[in-house]
This record gives sequence, C-alpha cells and structure tokens, in this order.
Amino acid sequence: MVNIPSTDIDLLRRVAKHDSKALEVLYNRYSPLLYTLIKKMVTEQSLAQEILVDVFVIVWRKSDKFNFNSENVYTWIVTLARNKAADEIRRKRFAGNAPEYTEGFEDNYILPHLSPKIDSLDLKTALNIKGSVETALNKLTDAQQYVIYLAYYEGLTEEEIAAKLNIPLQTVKSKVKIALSNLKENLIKGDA
Amino acid sequence: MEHKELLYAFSLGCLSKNDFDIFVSILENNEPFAYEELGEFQNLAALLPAILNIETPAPEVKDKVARKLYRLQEEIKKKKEEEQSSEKPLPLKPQEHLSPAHAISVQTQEDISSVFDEKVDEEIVEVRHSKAEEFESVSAQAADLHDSNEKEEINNKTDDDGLERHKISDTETGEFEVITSTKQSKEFLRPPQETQVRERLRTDLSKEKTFENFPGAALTDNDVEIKKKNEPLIEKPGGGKIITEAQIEPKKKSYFGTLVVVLLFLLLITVVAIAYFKIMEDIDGYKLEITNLTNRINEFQTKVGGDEALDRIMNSRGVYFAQLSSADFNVASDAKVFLSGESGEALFRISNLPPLSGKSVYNIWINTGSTFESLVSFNAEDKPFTIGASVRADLIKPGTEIKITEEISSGADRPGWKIILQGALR
Repeated sequence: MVNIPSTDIDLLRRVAKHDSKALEVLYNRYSPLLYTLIKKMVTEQSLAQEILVDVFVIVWRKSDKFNFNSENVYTWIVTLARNKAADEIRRKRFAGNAPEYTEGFEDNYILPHLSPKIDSLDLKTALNIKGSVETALNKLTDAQQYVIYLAYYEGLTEEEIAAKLNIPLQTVKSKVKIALSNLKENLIKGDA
Repeated sequence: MEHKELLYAFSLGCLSKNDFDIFVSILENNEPFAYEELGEFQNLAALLPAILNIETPAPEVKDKVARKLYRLQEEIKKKKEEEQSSEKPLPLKPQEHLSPAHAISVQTQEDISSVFDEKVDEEIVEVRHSKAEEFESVSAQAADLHDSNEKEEINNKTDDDGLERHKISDTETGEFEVITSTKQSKEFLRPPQETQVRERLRTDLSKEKTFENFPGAALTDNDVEIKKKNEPLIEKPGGGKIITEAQIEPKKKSYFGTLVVVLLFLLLITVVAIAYFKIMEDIDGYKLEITNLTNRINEFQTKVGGDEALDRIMNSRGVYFAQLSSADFNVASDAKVFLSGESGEALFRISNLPPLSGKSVYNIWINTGSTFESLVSFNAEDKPFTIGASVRADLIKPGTEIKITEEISSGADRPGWKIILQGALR
C-alpha cells in the first residue's frame, strides 16, 4: 500500500507529480475552508461551487509553480482561492470590460505571489488560533474592520473603496495600513 | 510612493492593477525589500477566513473536480495525438509526456465517456504494491516503448459483464490482459471506468529484481489487474519464480492475524487508558480532599492565632479601633482594625475582598501625617481572614488614617489610585 504523506507540502509535491490521491487528500482537507471563503465572497452557492472546482483544477495544473522552499501551502491555497473568487466578482462588476482570462493572466493575477521569506503556516495552526484572530479583529475600530472586509471579501481595490466610501484614496491607503498593522499587533498581544 | 507602502494593500489583495504590476515586478526581480514583513501580512490576511463558520461543500463538487480534471487530461491526449499525426513529430514537453498508465486511462475513458455520469460502482478488487515509486521511475522508459509501438500492442474489447479487457502483447513479458471495470469508482480522480491496475501478485514484488524491467509496470497506476492469460500460475516476466494462488492465500490470512493483534493491542491500550484515567481521577479527588483539610487547618490556626493576638491587644493599655470601608456601596469588602497603643501590635480582620488580577497584591497603609507608610502586603482570600502588623507607637492615635489599596506585586512607595478600603482610628 502506498502511504500518502499527510503534510500539506508533501501532498502538494505529489500533486505536482500528478498524484490524484494526494489531490483528493488536499481537497478533503481544504475544501471546507476554501468553500466557506469563496461563498462568503460570491454568496451564490452554485457559483461558489464552480469556483471551488476551478481552484482545485488550478492547484492540479499549476502546483509546480509553488515555491516549495516556503513550505506554506496554507497561505498559498487560501490566497489562490481568494484571488479566484475576487476575479469572478470583478468580472461580474466589469461586465464585459474585464481582461481576457488567459494562462498569463492566471499566472500573474490568480496564482499567489508569496514572499520568499514567509513563515510556514498550516490549516491546523490556523484553526487553532482562530479565536485569537477573531479577538484581534474585534479590537479594531468599525472603520478598520469595514475596510478589511471591503478589500478582502468584496474584492474592491483601494480606488474602489475610496469611491464607495467617498473618501480620499490616501485615506483608504492609510486605513488599510493601520488596520493590518493593528490586527497584527493585537494578535501578537493576544498571544503573549 | 515608497514601494513598502504597497505591501499592506498587496497582502489584502486590494492593489490597483498598476500598483500590483509594480509590486510584482519588485518581487520577481528579487529587489531588496521587506520580504519578512510582507510574509507576515500575507499570512495574516490568509488567517481571516479561518474565523468564518466553516461550511462543507456538497459531495458532488468533488465529482465535478474529477470530471474537469479528466476533461483536461483528454485535451492533453488530443493535443498529443495531433502532435504525433504531424509530419515531423515534435518532442513532447515533460508534462505532456504521458506514461502508458495515463494513455490507457484516457483511452479507456474515451470508450466509456458516455456513461461517465452514470453512478455505478467499481468492481475491481484493489491491489497495490509497495513499490509504487518504481512504477513512476520506469514509467518514462515504458512510455518510450509505448509511444514507439515497438514492443506493445493493445487490443481492447468490452465484455457483457461490464469489464473491458485490454490485451497487451509484449516481446519481453509475453501476453497480458488488463481488465477494466466500467463501474464508477468512488475515488476522487479516477473516473468510474478508469483502468484499474490490478496485480494478482500480492507478494512483495519489490524483491523481484527483474520487475523493474517489466514494461507493463508503468501501466499499473495502482489499480489495474494484470494477469497472465490462461494461466493459473502467475509467472514473472523473464521466467523468474512462479507464484501460485495458493501461495498468495496465506498472505491474506496473515493480514487477518495482524488485524486481530492490532485490535487486541488497541483493546489493551484502551483498558490501560481507562485504568490510568480512573487512578488519576482518584488522585485528583484525594488532592482536593487534602487541599480542603489544609485550608481548614490554616483557617483554624489563623483563628486561634488571631484570637490570641486579639486577647493580647484587648488586654493591653491604649486600645484603638478602626472600621475600614469602601467608598463604593456596591463593594461588600470590610475590615476591622485593632491596635495596641502599648505594644504597637495591630490586627486586621478582613472579609470579602475582590479577587486580584494576576500581578497585584493588597497593601495596608497608615498615614504618618506627611505621607503614608506601608504596613503589610497580602493576597486576597475568599474567606474572612486575619493579618497582624506592627505600627510605630507615635502613629497610634485617634484620627490616624488607614488605607487598603491594590498595588503591583513588585511594591509601591505610596498608595496607588485603587483604594479598596479606608478609615480612621478611633
């Protein structure tokens, strides 16, 4: 019997070698989180399912583009799903004026560009600290939380947020920076 | 704008296209940058969905993924065929270099594509061998053989029983039959009818040195059954040792034996664990009982000691008393102070102090006229308790103010703002 390695990075290595069993394990592990994220973004169930399918097809086709030195499959796959869902939202919003979805577009705008110096993170750890993340998020002001929501879940760019809230672009940039910095600080304080 | 300022919006995925392109070019050119900070914020953003109420997608989504991947595989196959049919064959890209297992999988799928969506169960018995990696290592070699059609010839037919039989003739291995079910697999990426590699050789093929040279090995992408045609015996290619079904059977029994041993072991672990937890529970009970008894002893000793001290104070000359109370009527705390003007001995009987935060202590202060002097520090107890202290004789006079405050455990040189109780000597 072939033993399927259970760590994310081992699974992705096997997926890169087109091991379908490894992709199945990865799907079983990540599909609930990714589906929840995508559905939160697009709200429509059938569309969320389609995007989830697309995400795992991308994982299958493009896993070789993952930087295996980083050992952070969690952030890669979550960011990939978020980018894919955000792209769908933007395509709906632009209605015909969206750029063509090509391999190059996918490589550049859908596949995550993770920092080469990113710490490792896995699903188990993420779920273990979800309470701390929630607490840290709740400590932000309503405005900071709203900016994060608009940017991350609604897929709005800084310009779009500025237009929606009718505030200067520079204010949005500043709020995004402060919101994320405070979130990080709150999380560190909470863990200490 | 400084490029570092872009990393926040980049991490959150809300950069405009222009800024995004600038930022990505920085990353791709490995320019000096705050990469660690970027990584931290990217992880932070990826943690956001973890706090959502997780919802599981419908089971059919998994099937959709499988179908989509097979359509993709089919496209690759067609592309490969187009390349092969061209006058001057182009060298294949590595990812397009399909192993025979892939080729057969796709070919089989073409045959059964019309029934792909029909939910039927797979029939083939699963046999996997421990040298799967060797399959992959020889797959490229086998693929070359397959592609060139020099050594293999595959004939397909479908039986009434729903099994497809692929006859494979090979100059080295003789003739084999690959049996494929038309019934659907529950496995993720196998289509219902995917070719299942099925080796009858449950024995450890890894011990057979000539197995690596078996071109058909690459076909056995886990689940295809390969059996020598019309032979009750399974002969290894190259005329190696012969293994009969009877020889295979004891292996199956040994699995049952192993299963029984494992179950017994698990049972033993369970019994030990139950016993352990029972003992630990008893120990915890005893510990609790000891703690209760110790508390009662301490309470008794405090009471006796307090009573003795109170007797001494009350029998001395110049007895003073103070009732300390809180300015907050909602606080039920209370303290009584007895002071001997003769000996300077003080006794504080305190009750209902609120619990302290982690790094705090209570402190008793006495007013010296110009400032306050610390008498004693203590931690709160949930029952009334008595604390003794010594007071300078010159401070023991009517009107001398006494305070109990909450201070940091490292100490304070004057009362802080958090006054719990206060009063004056009478």
